Amino acid sequence: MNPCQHFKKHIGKYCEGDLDPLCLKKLEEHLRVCSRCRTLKDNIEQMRICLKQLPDVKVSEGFNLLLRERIRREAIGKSPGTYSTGGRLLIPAMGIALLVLIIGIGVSDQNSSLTSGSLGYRTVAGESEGDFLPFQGKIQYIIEELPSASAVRLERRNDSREPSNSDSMVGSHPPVRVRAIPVSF
Amino acid sequence: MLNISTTSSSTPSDEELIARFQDGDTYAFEQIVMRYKAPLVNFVFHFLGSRIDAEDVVQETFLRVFKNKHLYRNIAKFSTWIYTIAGNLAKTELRRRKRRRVLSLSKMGFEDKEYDIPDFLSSPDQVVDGEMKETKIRNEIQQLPFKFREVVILRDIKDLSYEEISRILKIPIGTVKSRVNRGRLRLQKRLRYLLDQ
Ligand SMILES: [Zn+2]
Repeated sequence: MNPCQHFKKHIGKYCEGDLDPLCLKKLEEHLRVCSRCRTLKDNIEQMRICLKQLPDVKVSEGFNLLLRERIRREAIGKSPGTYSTGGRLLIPAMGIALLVLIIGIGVSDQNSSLTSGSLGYRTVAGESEGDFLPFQGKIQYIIEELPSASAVRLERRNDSREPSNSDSMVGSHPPVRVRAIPVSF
Repeated sequence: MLNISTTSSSTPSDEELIARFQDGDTYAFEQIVMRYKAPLVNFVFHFLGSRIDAEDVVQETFLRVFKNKHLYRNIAKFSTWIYTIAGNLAKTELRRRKRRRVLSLSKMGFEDKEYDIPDFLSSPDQVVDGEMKETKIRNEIQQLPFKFREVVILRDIKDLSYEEISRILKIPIGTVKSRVNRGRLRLQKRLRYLLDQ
């Protein structure tokens, strides 16, 4: 093995003072005559200093609170569904919910007795009857239950069989019930 | 009967804390969290390069410690155990990212081609100092192949002994030493222009 290769192989031990005396003597003799290996040694030593001096990142203030919440949720058997994981759980749920809503709205458009504005969306978080689901902006709700479009259609069909005037139809139509639970972090 | 922790020094050891937690003392768990959250977040941050992701991985680590406290046996150091969990979760996260990247690339059509934003730090001609130097070093650590990255982080940043690294990674000490050496050589090659300044 050429002396530079030999030095490269043992530079780790050399820097950490982990070499046997014979090997150390050999490497030091080589260092005296080889500027390339000297530079390599200096660079590695300097790099190790830089690595040790890398400043620590600061942990978020809400870390403990969030952990407590995750543990609490785990204890009651709910999946954590954190937003910080990139919404891995929320995004598919939102997608499905949105799709069902679009179908629901499409169905309501076809039904002349209903206008889209007459659909009542109930959000548990806001407790405001008639509000639309806050799908825009930040994702901050876990969708708990959502009726399928066919269930909505079936409900409507049942309603239309009942004798009633068109005005009361709008009012008596059961709203699409969506239960949205705000996540607390 | 006297509790072991009350007879020892005022600062309980990790092993004493986990033993107390195994006996149902949740305050001991909180102390473990306080003791380890910053070192673990920093450890994982070197792998992932994102503080938010690192915190998420560390949250999961603590959650697993909480759920699986009974699995810890006092034959290994607690730090080895918790670093192993965090390291494995970081590895899983990296694998997940890789899969996601492959998936999004395979979905990418000709029209969708993403153009790389030139990295102003990648030019060796730049004068790099302070924060830029730090960013550059962090970036280069992340460019190392995983098997070198993990040993360099554990040895040169976290200052763990070779024995401890060997236990965490479950590889022989000789392999750890050889990987540390090769990892340092690779990193030095990439950072040479910074180190020469
Ligand atoms: Zn040489």
